[in-house]
Amino acid sequence: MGTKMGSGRLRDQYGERFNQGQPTWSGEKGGECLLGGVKQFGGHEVRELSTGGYELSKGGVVVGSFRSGRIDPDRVVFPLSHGTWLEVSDRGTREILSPEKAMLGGLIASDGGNHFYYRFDKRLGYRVSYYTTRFASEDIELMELFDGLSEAVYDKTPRHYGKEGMRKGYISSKEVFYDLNDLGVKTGPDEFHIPREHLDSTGKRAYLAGFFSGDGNISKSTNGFEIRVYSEHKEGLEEVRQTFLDLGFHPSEIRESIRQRESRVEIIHNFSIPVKEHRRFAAEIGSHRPSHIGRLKKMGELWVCNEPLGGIWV
Amino acid sequence: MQKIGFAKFAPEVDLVDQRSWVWRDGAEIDTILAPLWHLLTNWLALTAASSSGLHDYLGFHGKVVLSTVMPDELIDKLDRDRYFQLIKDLRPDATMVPDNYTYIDAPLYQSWSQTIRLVTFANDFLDLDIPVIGLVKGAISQQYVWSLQKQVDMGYVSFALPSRELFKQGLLDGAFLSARHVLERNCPDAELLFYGLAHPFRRAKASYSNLSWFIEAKHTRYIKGGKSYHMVDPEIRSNRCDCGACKGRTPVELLSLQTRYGKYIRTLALHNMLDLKRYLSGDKDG
Repeated sequence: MGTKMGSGRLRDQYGERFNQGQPTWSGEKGGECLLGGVKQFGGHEVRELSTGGYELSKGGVVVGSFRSGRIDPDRVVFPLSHGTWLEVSDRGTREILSPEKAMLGGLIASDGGNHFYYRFDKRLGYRVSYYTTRFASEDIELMELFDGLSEAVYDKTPRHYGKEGMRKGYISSKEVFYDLNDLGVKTGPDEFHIPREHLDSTGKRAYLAGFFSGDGNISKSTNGFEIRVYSEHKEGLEEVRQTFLDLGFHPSEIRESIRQRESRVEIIHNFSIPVKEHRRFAAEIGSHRPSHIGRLKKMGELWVCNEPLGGIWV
Repeated sequence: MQKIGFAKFAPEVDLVDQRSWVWRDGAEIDTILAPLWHLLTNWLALTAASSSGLHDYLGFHGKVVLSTVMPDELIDKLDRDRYFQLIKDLRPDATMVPDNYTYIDAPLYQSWSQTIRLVTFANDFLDLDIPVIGLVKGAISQQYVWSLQKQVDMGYVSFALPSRELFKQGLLDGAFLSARHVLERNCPDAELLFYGLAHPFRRAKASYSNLSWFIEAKHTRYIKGGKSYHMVDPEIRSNRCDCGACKGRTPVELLSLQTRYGKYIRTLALHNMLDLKRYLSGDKDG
């Protein structure tokens, strides 16, 4: 994520990051008076203003003012822009991704792309740069999810092509490209990175749900069902596994398998979620792919049968 | 204070991405810059590096210079004792004076207090038993001159100028002139490192350090003659390269390597690093 690095013009660094131009003015407050109490988070204080919104200060100096925010018992979150939130807690401040943006990142990491290319424009007589953020899927439900998340985060509606079989949606925006690129959502043709430092536990679940919808698999096995996550990119998959560990799951070690695709032989890496955690996986993470949802429902019926006292899976 | 003796190009490495550890692919490098903030934002890496020291963690036997240039959020979290503990654990061969933030569009009070903080840290870091690199920072020329003069008076002879943002915003020339003004008059033997500079900004006697060679490789960009190209750019796509990474292959042939284990990125990163090294050493063809 583009971060302020201490030199030059502050305004330009904000502009580079969000195309916003100028940071939020946090100087004179124009006679606003404070409403309610003051909440302490580490060295920061959060005050609710009578004019609406919140004021964040540190050591008596106002460092930011926000129109809206959400105060939880252990933290406060202020929305910034493009699906990014500022989290203030006893551990300090950090920028985190909203669940929508995290899920969008997961979808793009699994079956999408974020890249730019040049093309010589004969009419203009010079090279033109094209910035594209893509997602492809055979499931119309996932395409609709991609559309919805793009609109929620960036206020941009993707264009579509390919009506039969594989559907593709794309956004052509330099701003979106650089925002996702700074997060390292897609680091290469088949490579990705999880911005875990910018994900809280809700964000991690949303990211995994997005990623699993693309590169997850629920298959029948001799013991019932098997939930696996797979990818060609071993380092990226290790980060996915680590994210599961962060959430308290106990995934297996990463295994390798060989897949023949047309004339190419590919090495696919995968790991699985243990059977005893399937129910928790379904409740906390789940998937948006219709075939996964069907299988999760079947698994839910099994749980209901086996556990007469439980059976609360929906 | 002992001089570091920078080569013309000293690559910065990504401490949490092993694909940038190009010495494992046979690259001969004397000195690398290791950004402390990569470790501070990755608890697992910090634990591993602290327990074994940076040399063993990286498997690198050359000189490791700890870079303290970091995002503002992290600067505020570290005090003198924490820096000393980190340096003791990580055991680098040299370190920089802790970074500060000085913005030209923030109130002068902030940049002056940060400048005073930098000079205070520079004084504290004289207690270390390893060479320390001074920092050239400031929002206005008086701050550059004052902080640099103080560091020269303390005996500092190696300096780093964090250049990325300054170059992008067209402010680097002014900062460089302020630094040269002080160094030429008071410390003619001093060495200056342009830190974080991706674009060719050639100045005699200066050294350069950046991570662009690796960032560009991660974005599948190919560096030739110090300039970055897309891999299939008609200008370079069919040109053979005889560097130790490409071994006579063209960018298109390199692109066909893109398969598993990140090998393609590693090869491209090594090529980019070797090209920048040759280009900045004076071979304009790279």
